[in-house]
Amino acid sequence: MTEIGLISIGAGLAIGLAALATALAQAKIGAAAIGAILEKPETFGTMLILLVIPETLVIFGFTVAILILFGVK
Amino acid sequence: MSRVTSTLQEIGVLHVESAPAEATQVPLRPQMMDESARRRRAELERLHEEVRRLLLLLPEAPPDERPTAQPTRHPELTEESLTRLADRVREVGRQVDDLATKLKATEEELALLSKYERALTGLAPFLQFVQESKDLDHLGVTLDEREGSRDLLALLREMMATVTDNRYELFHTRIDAHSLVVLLVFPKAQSTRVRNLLWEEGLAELRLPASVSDKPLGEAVRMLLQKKTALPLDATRYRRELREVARRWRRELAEYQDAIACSLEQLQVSLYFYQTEMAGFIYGWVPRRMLPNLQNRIRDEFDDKVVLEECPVTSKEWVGVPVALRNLGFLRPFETLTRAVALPRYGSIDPTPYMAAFFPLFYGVILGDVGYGLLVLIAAAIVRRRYRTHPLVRDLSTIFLAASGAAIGFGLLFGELFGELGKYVGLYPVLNRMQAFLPLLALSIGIGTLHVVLGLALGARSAWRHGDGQECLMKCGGMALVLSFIALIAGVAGLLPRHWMRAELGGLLCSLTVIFVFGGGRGAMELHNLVNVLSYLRLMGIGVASAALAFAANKLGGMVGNVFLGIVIAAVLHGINVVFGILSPTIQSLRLHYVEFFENFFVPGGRPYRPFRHLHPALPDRG
Repeated sequence: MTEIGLISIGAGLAIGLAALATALAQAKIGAAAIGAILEKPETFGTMLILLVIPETLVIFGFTVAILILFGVK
Repeated sequence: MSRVTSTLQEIGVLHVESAPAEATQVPLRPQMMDESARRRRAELERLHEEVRRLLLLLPEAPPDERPTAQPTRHPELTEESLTRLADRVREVGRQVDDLATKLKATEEELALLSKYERALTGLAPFLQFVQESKDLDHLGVTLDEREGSRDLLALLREMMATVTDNRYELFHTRIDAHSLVVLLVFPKAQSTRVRNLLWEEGLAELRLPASVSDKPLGEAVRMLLQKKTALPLDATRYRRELREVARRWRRELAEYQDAIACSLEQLQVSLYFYQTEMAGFIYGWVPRRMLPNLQNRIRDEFDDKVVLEECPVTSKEWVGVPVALRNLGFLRPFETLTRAVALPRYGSIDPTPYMAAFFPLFYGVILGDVGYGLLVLIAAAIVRRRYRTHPLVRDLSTIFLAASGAAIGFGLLFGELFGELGKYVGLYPVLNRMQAFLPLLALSIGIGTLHVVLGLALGARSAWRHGDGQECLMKCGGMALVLSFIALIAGVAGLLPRHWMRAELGGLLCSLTVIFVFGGGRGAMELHNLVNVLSYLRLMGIGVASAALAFAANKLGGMVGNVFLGIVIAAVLHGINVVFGILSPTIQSLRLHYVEFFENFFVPGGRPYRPFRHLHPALPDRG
């Protein structure tokens, strides 16, 4: 396989696995958050914070992918 | 006491509360509600509910017919005026209930008739051929061809021929794709058998509404068709009469509601009064800047009969102090974003001004497109104009006006107008988001460093104000840690001179020492700020994704080969992107504030300041 092919697979794995992990975490938090908001609508802000916390993972994955594609010489 | 209560309500600045045990040195007796006050409260609550119900039943006047003047406020409700008000409400209630009941009955009958409409219209032409006779009976049947595989019409003919010995007439017409309506005419002597057989075969006899069920079919159909014409006119008349009643009474009822609510609040607040042998006593909170006004008004009204005593509040008591956010007018809409999480505790820092500065910035960096920004700007302006009386919607739309302005500004920087279409109108990127990934990465980290360090600086200031020197030094150490770490990374990346690296490493070690010496175990939490700075990479990540979606929309639109279809596809995709463009940057910008920024200084748990006041404090009393 060519070097560019390996680099592309690496970048894809970096963002894909990170997105998968984020999705798994958000699925559980989201389900619990909906229940909590239905019980106590005033917790919306707190629940939003909790829900978006795992998104950092995919952002890191995206950044690593960008660095793999454009930053690594 | 009653005068004091109404004066306090008039001034409208006192947040009334139960007095703490140590508030006075004499024993206090809470004010109790006597029998007549309880009766008054029950009557007021009943009237409040009744007026609310009537206001729900009465239609709102169209915007151009609404009174432009503000409703006036009623004076205090005395026993006599309360009785008059109750009589008036009863009289209006009778009119409204009568009309509303008639309207409801008419609408229900119309809804019922619309179910029969097609069947009745189908039967009507045949009925003129049927002569009324004491020997003949006739009935309607609806046949649903989707039921079973039988030919229902043939089955019906066969059945009628057998039962009546071929002495019957059958008229039928189609009323929709699957249904037929059939009129059967047969000797009256066979009525029972025909009906029984229809029931046995599962064929549906046309059941007419109860109001005409005792009439012969022909007469019933004629009556129902007449009703079908008359009922809409009746409904229109009742609606018009209800509108008339609303025009006459709605404003007055709203004033009653206001007056009753004020009286109920007065009664409620009277329970917070305490008594000693010689005096009454009430306890509450007032913002310091409003205290002189309260003092002056109390002195003017009661001379020296009412004494206002200011109690000192120690910093230990700050936990219980109600909080009123105070910001400049143009910053106030952003208080909504702060409140969405929690009110800051008294004595801590209100993050609203910082949110007003950074929220539009983050939103602009992420969305960064002139076209999308303009669409959000127009939508926000329309919503703000349409819902200007709704505080929450007005505040949110104002926030989006500012945010969309930033998106347009960054759109000019990125040279984006619905993606790359900007080049066709001479818009070229200073910083191309689809190519300059590393500069964008540096920009995001730079903004993140600034934001996190600002949060740490606010945390240090807050700790200093609370006299917590160790916490203050730990936060300063945190600032030095973030700055030296980012400088070190920049040095490694070649963005800063190499020979600075020794100083940057030294700064890193010194800051770590300060953090752990003054913060102990808590110092480990400060290291989290390094991860927090990296979290701002989402400004670039989500932004590039947004730009890529816009580029994809144009690309797909261009691949179709048909100009019109291409424009439609591109417009639909851009529409979807605009919706994402409203949601995603908002959520990400909020998250960067709530998680990364607030973490270093925000102390939630403030109790809202709720002064005891009239619902319409600026309104004059009725003359």
